[in-house]
Amino acid sequence: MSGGFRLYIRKMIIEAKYHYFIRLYKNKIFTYALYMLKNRMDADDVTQEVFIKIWKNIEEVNYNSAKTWIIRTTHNACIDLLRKRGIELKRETGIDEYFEETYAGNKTENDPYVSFNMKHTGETIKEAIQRLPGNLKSVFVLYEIEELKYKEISNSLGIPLNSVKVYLMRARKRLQEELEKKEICGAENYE
Amino acid sequence: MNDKIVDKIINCAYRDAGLFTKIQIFILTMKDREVKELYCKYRATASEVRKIKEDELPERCVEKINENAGLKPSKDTSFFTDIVILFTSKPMIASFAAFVLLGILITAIYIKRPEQQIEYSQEEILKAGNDAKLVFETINKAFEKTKNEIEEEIFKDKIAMPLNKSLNKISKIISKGDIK
Repeated sequence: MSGGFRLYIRKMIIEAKYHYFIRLYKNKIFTYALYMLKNRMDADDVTQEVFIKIWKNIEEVNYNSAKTWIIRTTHNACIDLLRKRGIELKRETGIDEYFEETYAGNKTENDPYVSFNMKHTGETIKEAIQRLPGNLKSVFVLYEIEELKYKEISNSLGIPLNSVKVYLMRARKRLQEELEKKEICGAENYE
Repeated sequence: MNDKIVDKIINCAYRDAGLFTKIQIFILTMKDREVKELYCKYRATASEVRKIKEDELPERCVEKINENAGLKPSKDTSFFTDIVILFTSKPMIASFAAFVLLGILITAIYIKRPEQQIEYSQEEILKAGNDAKLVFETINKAFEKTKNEIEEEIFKDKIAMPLNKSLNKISKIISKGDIK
């Protein structure tokens, strides 16, 4: 009887822990996957996969190191999915061609009036972030949108702390360049 | 404008810079128009970036996540879940809170306990009354005895009679005129 009761309590604690992780991290995982994969369905799939891994390792996952572990798992799942689809994460020197393929038919992109007037609004910024090269985008999204600290990003992505700072700086510069390019293109098309 | 200054401007615009750097860039923006323009550009972008919120995971995905684990869907916030998480994730805080609660409970029980009332039977009350009466009678007798002793023996025999005798002698001496 006492063994059965203990098992019941243990099950309740594990379920409570899992629901806590869902509540705390579901949007972080989904947002990061969405930026990396640029596709809601793929982001859904990756989110499901990550939570399955969390459930399988629920007893080992520590509250203090959960964030880093979860982000690392999400990042690895995104990379695996991209590799499966034959898309390579471009280094910082390259433009993200996958973005061009996915958004080729996007009306907003081709509408010069909308492009010119959306100048630095939320959607424009999001599109510009998604154009960033893979490694710069990861760091930028984790720092600016997910609000992780340098050390957390370094542990999650497995890169040195100084690299995190350098990538972030470069991401900010690239983002600004992308926005200015879009503004110029938008203005030209409008004329 | 070198790369180092540009980096500092960007850090300032994204609110990542230390106080000294902020002051340095502020002074530069007052002196140099180019610096000011660059700072404003980055500042505008940084403000828009800061407005971007996390995307919400659709509800159907959350249900699917629970299904995959074989769990029933739960409400987003649950008091029970919060208590369990508090005790399992922060054991020191939970232990301290439990200790304080226990102390308050024990103190409250101790203060509120009913006073013990001792009840006596009728015979015990009567007996106690008689005992008290006896005691007072004994004390009274002792006082009476002492009073009689003082009046009859001590005062009369030891003080009054010798005094009387002395006064009579003196009177005799005075009346006989025997003072020389």
